[in-house]
Amino acid sequence: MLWLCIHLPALPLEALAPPAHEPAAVAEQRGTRRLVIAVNAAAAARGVQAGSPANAALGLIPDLRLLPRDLAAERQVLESLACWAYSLGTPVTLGAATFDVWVEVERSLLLFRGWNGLRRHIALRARELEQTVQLGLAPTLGAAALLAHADAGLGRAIARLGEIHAAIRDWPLQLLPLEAEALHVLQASGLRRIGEVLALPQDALGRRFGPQAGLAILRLLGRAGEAWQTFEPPPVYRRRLELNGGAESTEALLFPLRKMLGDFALYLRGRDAAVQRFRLHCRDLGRRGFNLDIGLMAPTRDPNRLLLVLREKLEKIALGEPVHELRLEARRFEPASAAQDDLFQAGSAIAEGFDSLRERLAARLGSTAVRSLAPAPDHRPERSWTLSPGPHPTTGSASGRQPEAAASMHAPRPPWLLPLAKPIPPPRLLGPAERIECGWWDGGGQCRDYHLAEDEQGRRLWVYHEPGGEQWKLHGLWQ
Amino acid sequence: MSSVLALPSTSAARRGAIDVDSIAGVWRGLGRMRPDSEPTGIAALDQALLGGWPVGALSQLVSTEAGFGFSLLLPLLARLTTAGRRAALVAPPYIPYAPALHDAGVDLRHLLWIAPKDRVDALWATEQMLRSGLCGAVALWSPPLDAPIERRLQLAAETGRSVGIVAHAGGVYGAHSIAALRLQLQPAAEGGLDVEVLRCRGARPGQRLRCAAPLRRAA
Repeated sequence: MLWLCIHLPALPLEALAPPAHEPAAVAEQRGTRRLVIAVNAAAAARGVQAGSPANAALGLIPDLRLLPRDLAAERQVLESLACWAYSLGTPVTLGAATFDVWVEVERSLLLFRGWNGLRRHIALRARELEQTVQLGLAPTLGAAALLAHADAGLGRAIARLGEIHAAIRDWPLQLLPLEAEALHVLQASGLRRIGEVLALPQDALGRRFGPQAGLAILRLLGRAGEAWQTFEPPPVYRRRLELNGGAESTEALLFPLRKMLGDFALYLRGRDAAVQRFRLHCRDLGRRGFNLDIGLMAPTRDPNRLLLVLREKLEKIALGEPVHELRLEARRFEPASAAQDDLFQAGSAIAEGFDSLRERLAARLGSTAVRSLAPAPDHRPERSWTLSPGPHPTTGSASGRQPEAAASMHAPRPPWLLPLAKPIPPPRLLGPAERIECGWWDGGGQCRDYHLAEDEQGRRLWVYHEPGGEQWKLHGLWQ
Repeated sequence: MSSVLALPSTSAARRGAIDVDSIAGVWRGLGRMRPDSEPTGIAALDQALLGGWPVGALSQLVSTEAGFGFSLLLPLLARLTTAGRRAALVAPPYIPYAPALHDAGVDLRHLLWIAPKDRVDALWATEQMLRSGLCGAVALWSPPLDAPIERRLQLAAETGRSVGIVAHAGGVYGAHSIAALRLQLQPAAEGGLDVEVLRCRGARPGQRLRCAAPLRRAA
């Protein structure tokens, strides 16, 4: 096994994403005391440290934004990170208490031709992440986490089980996966480094701190088997984001949306899927809200494209109340079509761009307002055309001629058709009749004599009357 | 200026000077073809318009009846779409009749019909498509446009190097417009069109010509 551990040192803070420019801290109730567990740079600059009591922090910075810890939000961040990790290898497992995500990457060694390739790939992919991450690479879960917590980086990865002991010997013992109390006792006994703890008799730790402690050390060194719960990406994607202070304009929603869609894209990438329909739900403080259902012309997992479409939808909406909560939900996923690289890129780039343009139009005008036409095999003029449903395949330009309609044998047809034939006084007829008698089998039967005609201004008309009927009707225009 | 233009192009080339024809916006005298234009498909009209519909500019069709003059656009739509380029019809007053367009050679897969709810949406969609550079031609049917809106569309067409066509019904002759090309259309005998060039960048205004009915394949 070779585990990559991704550690999020600033998870409690990043999960809540307070604005960076004002001092903010995350606090948690521990027993009777309320402790600060994470601070942002602005607060740290003014002397607040993690671990100090909340009251003391407020004493230092009266306008400190003190946020309660949100475990659900942290879990969401970890899960989206796990989805991302899924694209590196499998299995993936979570350590919510220690802010860790592990992914097994040994099989990727071959793919990336050895250690250097693998490390380069991981480092490159890690730049996609918005969160602060620390990485560790080792043959056991414990050792990988230890390296990640120490922020050792990929350069100090451990390749073989036998090397773990030597590699971690000189680190401070606080990094050991033991209870805080146990670490405290060890430190009080005068021990400082991991090597000194490992040098203790094997069963001494177990006798002093309980069997779990001894087992943890054995697992760390790979001398006892490790167990983990495999993380599976959930079949339905649901994310919730609370906005601090609320967003009063749709413009203000774009920034948090960008972040949400970024996470969504990681999830899609991890599942190797793309999305065509999803829903955004916006809520105000009174829990009233509205839904935006987004449908795309073609499945995608490009967050910028998703944002562009959402933006067009949002621009049409006037927010009554400030939005305090966003929920993103996607239930159906499409297989991601691997992007086929065209030898001469240009054609596909234009097609891709056109799809995206069409989506923007449909998002604002409504999907029924953006239409493609096609001839239909029917002789009745009203039914000899259809709106073709979706977009034509974007690769269509290469697929040859357009389908021949059965209708190309008919007499000339006018380019304009009136939606409803309009009664007119008898016109000056210019040619023989073309009888169209059709449709008796489906209840829409009709029998009409169509003529080319001219009105007093000299415009060419397409008119008909029913045999035996007197009323002439205008059905098309030629010019 | 005129002396520069009077130089035969061969002597200009011999002296290593810049070819005047390659500079956009230089007045080249009457009767020269504009390089960036899309042929209309009617030879006489191409001659009068110095090459055809100007690319990257607005063209205006003025007529008395809504939708009149659509047949003049068909050769352009056919040529663009069969070449795999996109074209769009925005807010047409009637149904663009698919069998007729198909007969005229239009590849319907590359033609979009935009049916917006109101005028604002129609203008927005037109601007987006013109600006995108993905549409070879965009035709809008609309009441006469205000000057700022017209300028916006003109800029969009310029950005996207697209043929922008605005068709007005009701024909407000003489109203100010910045369109590079303005054509007044009237029905003519035999189903043809009488075209009067009210304005054309680089050409003399006031030319009149008659275009035969392009659609009458059979009597």
